[in-house]
This record gives sequence, structure tokens and C-alpha cells, in this order.
Amino acid sequence: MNRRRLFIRGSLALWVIVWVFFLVRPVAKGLLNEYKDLLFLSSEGKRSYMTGASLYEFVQFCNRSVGVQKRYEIVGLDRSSLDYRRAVYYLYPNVVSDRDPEFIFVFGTPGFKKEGYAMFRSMDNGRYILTRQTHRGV
Amino acid sequence: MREVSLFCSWILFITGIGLSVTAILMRSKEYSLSDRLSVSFGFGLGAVSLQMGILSFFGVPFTRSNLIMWSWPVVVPGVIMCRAGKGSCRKDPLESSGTTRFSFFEKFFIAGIGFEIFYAFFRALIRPMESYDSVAIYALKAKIFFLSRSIPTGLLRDPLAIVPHADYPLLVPLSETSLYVFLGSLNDHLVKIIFPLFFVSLVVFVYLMVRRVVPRKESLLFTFLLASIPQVSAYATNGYADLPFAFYYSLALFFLWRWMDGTRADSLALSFFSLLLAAWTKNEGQMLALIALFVSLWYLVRERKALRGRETVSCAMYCVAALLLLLFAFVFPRSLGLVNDTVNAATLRPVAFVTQLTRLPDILYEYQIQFFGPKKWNIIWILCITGIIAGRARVFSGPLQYVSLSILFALAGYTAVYLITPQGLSWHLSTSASRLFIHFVPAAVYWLACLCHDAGMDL
Repeated sequence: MNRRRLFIRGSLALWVIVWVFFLVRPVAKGLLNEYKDLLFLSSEGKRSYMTGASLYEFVQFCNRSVGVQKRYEIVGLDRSSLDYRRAVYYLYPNVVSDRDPEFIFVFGTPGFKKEGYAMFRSMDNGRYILTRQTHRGV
Repeated sequence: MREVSLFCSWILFITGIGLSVTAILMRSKEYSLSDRLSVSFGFGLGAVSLQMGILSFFGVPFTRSNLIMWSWPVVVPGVIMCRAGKGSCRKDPLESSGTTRFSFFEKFFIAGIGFEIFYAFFRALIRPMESYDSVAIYALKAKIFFLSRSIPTGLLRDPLAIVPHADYPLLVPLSETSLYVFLGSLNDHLVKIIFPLFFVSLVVFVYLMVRRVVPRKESLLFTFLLASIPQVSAYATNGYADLPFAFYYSLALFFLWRWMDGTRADSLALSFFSLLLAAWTKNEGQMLALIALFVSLWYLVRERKALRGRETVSCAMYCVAALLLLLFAFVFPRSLGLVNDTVNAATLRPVAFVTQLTRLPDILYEYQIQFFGPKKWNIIWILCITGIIAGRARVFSGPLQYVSLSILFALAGYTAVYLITPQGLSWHLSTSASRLFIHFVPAAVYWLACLCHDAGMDL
């Protein structure tokens, strides 16, 4: 076997070893369990699993409570976080706005209050909706 | 069951449009039925998303019947040209091998490629849209377009910025919207099938291009190398625009190189159409247009004595078209008030490139992390570095110089963006460098194949 062919076959062997290792490692480190969990879930169940049940339930609660095409602000999620972006996606056609929003969705921030806003609906101590006091009816 | 039949009708519609486009643009006998099929999904989806952009501009709502009815400007000429050019295809390169029996290596490569394709579909479909840009940018835009049955430019320009990066091109969100329109509902699981379909198209297309350079066994080897790169297969599943962009990017360069190898002028038309779709997928498409322009000009200068008058005119027209595309892609979003947060009038100053050269060590440090990081790239970049060292005499001579230059310009272009970025350099590098490398990795695989062929290396 000439040296060039030996180099190609050696590189290929190395490639295959690295390929298999980095393919198997994440599966062995927990991805397999995630796949097993996801495989038998409904579409809603999968969204909830990926988003986190607590946040997804709250987003659904907000959608049911305020209707559509309302302006809201989220408290408790960092604006650059993936959770915030997922919430904005699931809440559309309600539109996020920090200019005098009709609702404030409070997530994971027990006791949060804001002047001019009153309790609208509550899921639990840390997940609730405040509404602008001039805007009672939905 | 109804959803499955609607999904199948969407696939047939997209592929039909793609085949119509290839019937119009792929006139050369150089291209076989396999070539046409490999690009039909990507061309079809690109053409439909362009059509949706035009429909929205004229106030025609996105409905299934409107999408089908307004496809006649592509379908009718496609059918006419298909009938006119019937029987003109060259023998299919998939069938042109001397032997039909597969060796052990070939069987292994086919199994590896098949596994990666199967796993890409599995990974894409088991999760809904969930990764950052896929949700924050593309899926959200697709949802907005579907619910409003148009592109509400007012919402995209809203200073409240419900959609980050409103200036990003719309091929991916409009492609997702087209599936929603056919299904009649939002399905953020099924829509992810777009990305593994691009992966299959890319893998098959790269195989067909590499097959023109090296024998079947080596072609399968290089295709396997591409399919097994973890970073490539990961982006075939996560809903980002980088893999579709890599597909159009590769098409634009491969067709340009095919033309330089002596095929008819329709390769230039195909390259330009791919450039257009690349610029419609990501803003980096503007840089690709610039690369194609530079490489074509370099080709014109180097080969001026060998080129016939008609070929010189074709290449000059291609350069002008690339320049116009570049200008349009730069000016049009700004006329709508959309400004890119990285490359804009404030950052794009010649002096900035010089004053920011102190960033170069940090950028090169990140690049070496990428080059020697097997977790994302296996050993592809190490092979490329080895190729540069071992084949240094060939890299910048003959036809290979145009492939080498295209990759080198891409690396230089992305480095230039990092030099001027107003965002934190470490953050920008860590969140985007590895994604940007995907864009030209198929070109790098083709470059390796050409180098091995020139050096007379085989398996």
C-alpha cells in the first residue's frame, strides 16, 4: 500500500472513531432519556417539555385569560433569554410592549407590584397577571 | 390523515416549481436528471418564497389557491421548455460508473450517509421549534405572516421590536409560512422537516458535483465526510437559516466553477439564481455576491487570452448582475428603514478595518478553537490545513485556484465583519463563528476532493 493511500485510510479511520464518539457521547449522557420522553408525548406535551412545564402552563394561562391582540409586558424573564423569546413566540398574536401595556405577566416573581396595575388573574403565588386599572374588561 | 395528504401536496407543489425552474435555467446537457432533482426542492422553495414576497407587495393574501394560481409564470415556461428539450439530458452520473457492485468502503459510506440523513429527520421532527434564533426570528415571523396572510411591513419596522433582526431576509420564514398555508394551520413540529430536506438536497448535490471530479468510491468518501460533520448535521435539525444558506451558497459557487470548467452559459444563470436565493436567505448572501464578483473578475483577468468573445460577455454580464444584486440587497432594506446591527453605514468605514486590527489575535484564537475542535468539526479543518501544506504548489494554480480563492475570500469576509462588529467581540465570535463556517464547508469538501484528484490520491 503506498504512503498516500495509507494517509487517506488512516485519516478515515481516525475520522470514523471521532464521528462515532461524538455521536454516541451525547446520547449516552442524557439525550437518550430525552428522546424516550419526547417520543410518546403529544405536540402540546413536547412544547411543554422543551419550554419547561411551569412556563408553558403560564403562557397558555395568559393566552386563555387575556384574549388576543393585547399589549403586554413580561416580568421575571430576562429579555435576552431563550425562555423570554419562547414566551413571546407562544403569546403572539398578543404583542410584547413596554409602552403602557394593557397587561403585565408576572412569572416567578412573588409579590411583584406596579403602580396603576391591579391583580387580574392568578395561577399561583409566583405566576399571575396584572392589568392596567383603566382596563378592567377583557 | 388529512394533514399528511396536505403535506404531500405541499412537497409536490414545491418540487414541481423547482423542476420548472430547472427546466428553464438548466438547459445544458451537462446536467442530468439527478442534478435537476437534487436542486428542485431548494429552487422550488426559494422560488415560492420569492413569489410570496411579490404577492404580499401587491396585496394578494397568502392562500393555497393564490400560491398555486400565481405559480403560472414559472410553471408554464417550465413545461414548454421541458417539452422542447425532451431527451437532451446527458447520461446520469449516478449510473455512469463502470461497475454496479459496491465495495466494502462504498457500502460503509452509504450506510453512514443514510444514518446521518435518518438521524437528521428524527432529531428535527421529535422536537418542536425550540432553539433561539429559530423561535425568536424565523418561527415568529412565519407565525405573523401566516396569521396576517401577508408580510406586515409595519410590524417588522415597529420600534417595539417584537421581532428581533427585522432586517433579516425572509426565505426561511416564508418557506415555513408556505407549509402552514398548505396545511391550513400552524404546525411547528412538521415545519421543521424543511431543514433535513435541505440537508438531503445538499448531500446529494455535493455527491453529484464531487462525482464529476473523482471516482464513485472517493465521491462517497467525501460526501460521507460532509454528512458526518456534527456541526452540519446539527444545523440540519434546529430551524436556523444557516444550512439552507449553505445549500444556496454551495450551488452558487459550484455552478460558477462548472462554468469556469467549460460548461455552457446556463451555469452562470444557475449560479446567479442561487446567489439571489442566498441573499434572500441571509444577509451573508451579500458577501457571497461580492466573492462571486471578485472570483469572476480574477477569472476574466487570468483567462483573458483563452476566453472567446461570447464567454467574456457572459462573464461580464454575470459580474454586472452580481453587482446589481449586491446594491439592491444593500439599498432596499434601508429604504424600508431596516438597518443591520452589525454591518451598516456607521460601521462600514475603511478606517474601522484598520483601527480594529488589534482584534485580529482574538479572532484567530477563536478560529483555531474551531479548527482543532473535533466535537463540532471532527477533523475536516485539520485535513484542509494538511491539504494546504501538502498541496501548496497546486492550491493557487490551474482551475483549483478559483475554488481556493472562493474559500479564502469567505474566511477573509467573515473576519472583516468581526473586525468592525459593534457588538462585544467575544460574544459575537462565540455565538456565530461556528455557524458561519458551515456556509463554506461543502466548498471545502469539494476543494479537498479536487486536491486529492490532482495529487492522484485514492482510497
